[in-house]
Amino acid sequence: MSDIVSTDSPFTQEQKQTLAILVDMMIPANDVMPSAADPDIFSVILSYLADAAEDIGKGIAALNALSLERYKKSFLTLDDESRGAIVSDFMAQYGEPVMQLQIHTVSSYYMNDRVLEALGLEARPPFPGGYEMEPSDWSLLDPVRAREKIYREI
Amino acid sequence: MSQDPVDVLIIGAGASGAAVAWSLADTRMKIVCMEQGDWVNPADYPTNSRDWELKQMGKFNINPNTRGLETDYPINEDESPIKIANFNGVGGSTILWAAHFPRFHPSDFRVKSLDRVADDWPIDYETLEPYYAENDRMTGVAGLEGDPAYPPKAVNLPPVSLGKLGEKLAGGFNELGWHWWPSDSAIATEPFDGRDKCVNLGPCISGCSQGAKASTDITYWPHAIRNGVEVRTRCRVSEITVNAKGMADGVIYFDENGEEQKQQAEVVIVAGNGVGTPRLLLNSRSSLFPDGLANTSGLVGKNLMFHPYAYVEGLFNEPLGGHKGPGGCCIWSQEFYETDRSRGYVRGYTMEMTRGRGPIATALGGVMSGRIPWGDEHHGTYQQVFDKSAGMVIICEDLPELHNTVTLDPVLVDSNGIPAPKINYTLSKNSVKMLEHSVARGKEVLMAAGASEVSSGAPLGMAGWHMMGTARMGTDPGNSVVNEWGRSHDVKNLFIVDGSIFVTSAGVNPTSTIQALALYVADSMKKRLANLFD
Repeated sequence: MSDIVSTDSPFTQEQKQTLAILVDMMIPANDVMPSAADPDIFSVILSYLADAAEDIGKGIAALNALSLERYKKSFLTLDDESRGAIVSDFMAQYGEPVMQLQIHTVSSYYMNDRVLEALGLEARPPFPGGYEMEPSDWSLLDPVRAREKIYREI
Repeated sequence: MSQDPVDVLIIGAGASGAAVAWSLADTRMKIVCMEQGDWVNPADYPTNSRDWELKQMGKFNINPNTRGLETDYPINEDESPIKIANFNGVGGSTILWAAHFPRFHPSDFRVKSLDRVADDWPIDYETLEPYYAENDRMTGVAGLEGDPAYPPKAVNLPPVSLGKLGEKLAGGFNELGWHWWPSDSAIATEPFDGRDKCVNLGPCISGCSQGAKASTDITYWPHAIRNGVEVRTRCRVSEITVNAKGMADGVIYFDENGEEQKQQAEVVIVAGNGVGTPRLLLNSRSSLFPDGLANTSGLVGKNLMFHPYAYVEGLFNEPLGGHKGPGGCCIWSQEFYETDRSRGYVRGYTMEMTRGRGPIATALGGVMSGRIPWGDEHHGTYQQVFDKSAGMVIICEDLPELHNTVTLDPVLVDSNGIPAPKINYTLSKNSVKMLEHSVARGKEVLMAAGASEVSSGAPLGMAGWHMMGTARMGTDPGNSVVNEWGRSHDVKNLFIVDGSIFVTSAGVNPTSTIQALALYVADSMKKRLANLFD
């Protein structure tokens, strides 16, 4: 995704760290697939989220407030289990910033070259290459061709 | 500022405006078409870039309120479960259509006689058939002859490929002994009239970068312009004006700089479709027509019909190659098209198989529905779903009801301050029963095809592609807005050629019929040129 760059990020370092944890919780790495927090993917997520930075910032502040209220600790300092519990509640309460984060995490992830290739797809736009299709088996239509007309005569 | 008068002024450069302009061009009259949008550059279509799935959700979104371009007008659709899908530009909504190109059935023109509901059309299939054929020749329609669901008709291009997905679903229909057929598709499967052949890009509904899909900017318009028709873009008509004798004498419009202009015309043809046309007529109030132009019947904006859609999707245990091939056009079934009262409703529907979702749409749909979880199970579940789903949309016939309306919103205006349309629409009991029946049959066929699980939804909220009936045609001026050849009963030099003149909606996509009607109206005008206003 060399055509998408992240410059003059509106997010603080702490906000970026929080977002990286969140997107990794959404889509973690496995043996084949990278994490959504992979630097190549995360930078694209941040660039898309920039337009919604204010909402995202408020969401992160709310997440931290929830963390402090429940565990007396900031979200960044929680263990994985506590983070999971907080995020689950947070996602249910804060629709708009969560929706933005989900949309842009998914979009950025499933546009990434490594992800697409791991899925067996070519990392390119549909045009101009298009796709070859196998010849159609029109003998499948034989039973339909054998039917009488099914429309009403007027 | 006033422009030189023209003989014919067409409002709207979409499916019907293009067809009527092309047909009238051979009269050598001075014809101008005003279009509020722009020419679209195919290089801007989403499929040119890697983020094509995101661009589909943005400026190429099918909903004008989401798209929100300067060339769009807002629509208050809060009081409708079905939201509008359209596009404003040269080519109109054919820019973003799937290119399904079915004709109506003969029975669709005789609904009251056959099924005792709604009204018969003042014309019949036989009247329109030559115009369907002419429209097919201009458009380039891929399909197969011999469909038992239709009277014999010629097809001029090979059908779209079935693909593995299409063959899988065809097997399900065969298992049940149900009708299916390759979709009639306005897609050049071979080079046609200067257009290159389809390369199976996938998402036709965000614009065809290849130019294989028959949007009218690349079908009718090049021919019409070559024959002398002038297209003026970024001209938004706010009002059709009338003279003291009650004849239309031109329009007031806003040019690309937002300046109000006047254009005089001998004949005005409205081609704004089922929402844009009643909006314009209702905005054209005068002392002679205080309730809106051509509205003596009170039916302008009434009887709005959508096609209530259902979707049914199945999950299979093998890759289906669903990203290859025209996204909307594959095969269809009209097994349940004609009325059978034992089903608990009248009229019927078409099942239209769709191809697979892209990688982002798969993930977003899965995450939002809860089918694909976040966390450690995300990848495994995604792999179970991606390229393994196939399904259909089901397009149900809607019937006209007076309470389903397009009116003028008392508050909402477009960027030129012109009152915006407001939609009030509810589903009829007949539609609800038909949707239920269609979903059950859809699930049945997907299971027969080998699906391991199925999901469905109805009505499909984003599917307000088809807007019809809001200026219906008929022979009785008290019960229709235009006569049987598209001329206003009230204003004898005003014509309407779009989906608003439909009497009923049928259970198929309307564009083929909209364009056939436009060609038929044009031909009717040409035959009567000497006494057109009598």
